[in-house]
Amino acid sequence: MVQNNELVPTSIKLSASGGMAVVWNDGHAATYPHAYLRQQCPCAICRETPPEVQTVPDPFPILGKNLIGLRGATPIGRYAIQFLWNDQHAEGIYSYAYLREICPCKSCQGD
Amino acid sequence: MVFLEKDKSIYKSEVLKALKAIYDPDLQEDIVSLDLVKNLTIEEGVVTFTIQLTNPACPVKDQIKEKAENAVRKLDWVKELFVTMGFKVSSQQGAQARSLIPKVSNTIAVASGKGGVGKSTVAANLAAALMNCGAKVGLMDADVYGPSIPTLMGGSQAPQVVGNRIIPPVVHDVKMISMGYFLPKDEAVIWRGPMLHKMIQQFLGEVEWGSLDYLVIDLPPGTGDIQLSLCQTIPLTGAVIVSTPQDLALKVASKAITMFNKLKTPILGIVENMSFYICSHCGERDDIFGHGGAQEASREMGLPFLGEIPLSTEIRLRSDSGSPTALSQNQHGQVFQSIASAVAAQISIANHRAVQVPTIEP
Repeated sequence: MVQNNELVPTSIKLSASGGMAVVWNDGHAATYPHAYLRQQCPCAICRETPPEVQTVPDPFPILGKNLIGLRGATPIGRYAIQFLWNDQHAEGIYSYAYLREICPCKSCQGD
Repeated sequence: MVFLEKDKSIYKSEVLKALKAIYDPDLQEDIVSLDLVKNLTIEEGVVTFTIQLTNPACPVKDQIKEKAENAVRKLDWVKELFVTMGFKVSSQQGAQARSLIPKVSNTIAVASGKGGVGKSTVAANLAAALMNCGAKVGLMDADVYGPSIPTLMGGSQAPQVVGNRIIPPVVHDVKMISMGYFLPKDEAVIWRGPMLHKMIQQFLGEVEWGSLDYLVIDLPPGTGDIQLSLCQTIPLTGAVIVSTPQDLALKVASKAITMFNKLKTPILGIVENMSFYICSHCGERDDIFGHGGAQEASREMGLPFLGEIPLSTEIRLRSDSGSPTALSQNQHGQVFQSIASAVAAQISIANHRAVQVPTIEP
């Protein structure tokens, strides 16, 4: 069977401030900041119009947008994760392959 | 025989050491390391234990029992020996399965590339054969376009709705659900994706499946919304691919295999249906659709070959009359029993080896 040779996360930890920490079955580990993750949403709507994601707190919160925040995540079958954001957006299904592709760590982005 | 007052644990460890020579035929490890030896009691030289395999349909169960008995009898202090064989299926549920179908240990999708290859017959008989080995089995007919499971299994009970739970009818000791129960006979299901997705979620989460060792799911042919919905809603234990021997059927079946690979669903193996025909008049064999194509392809793809089913009037008659062939005592029944054994073995192996579905933690 093929799956033992494929890259799958062994651990996924979410934190309100720290982003999403992923450890892969090949030992690779990285943390995905929330805003970055949201910007990479692969759903049809976001691919068409990438979301404007505010990453720095607005000094005038009454007038400004809220910071993007991750409300939750759920596994999808054996191959993906779905995220729920605080703007109610939940359309993106991030396959493990896609997550690895967008890994934000220095060694992955460097190539 | 004079018994020395040995510490009981020494007797136990001697028995376990002897049993370390006995291997599980599917998992390739000894039964002690796999923790399959249960309820070991030793009283005045009388040894009792159960070997709890993960495969209820293990074809070499009796040989394993014999080997175990011979190994333990070699210990000279053993006066009497009582070995029973049992089973407990293994399970690798992920979070989604735990919330929708918490007491279902394994889910088996039965798929094909094209229609008309006998997928529903295989699904129904697989369920019946597993039940026949003592497993608790459910059968979900997700083929909304041609729900034939109620015909294949027989029975005339309709599902009951109690509160917001659907109580599935039980036929041949298999719990069943099908769109066929909810639609008038002449109606067709002409639905788009979201409705089909909802149906899958309801068939999983709102049916009172209870405790099951295996839930067999009959899919529609091809690679559409229902297949995708199923693979997104739960982490399937694995898929069984049904194909006829012809190359053409296989090329289309490969598409289904590619789909399951993309969705990281293990392929439990390939079944070749309509493998050959034995004439009911003269007894001559005719390979009407060719023969062995599926076995050849499974070798090439490195996938397990689960078995071949012949074209047979008897199988067809029994299917039409709701009496699964798997339950008959003849050679056709044997064919389905041996396919069920192979599927159960592959599930044991998949659960033993497969990468766990990761849990998401705060």
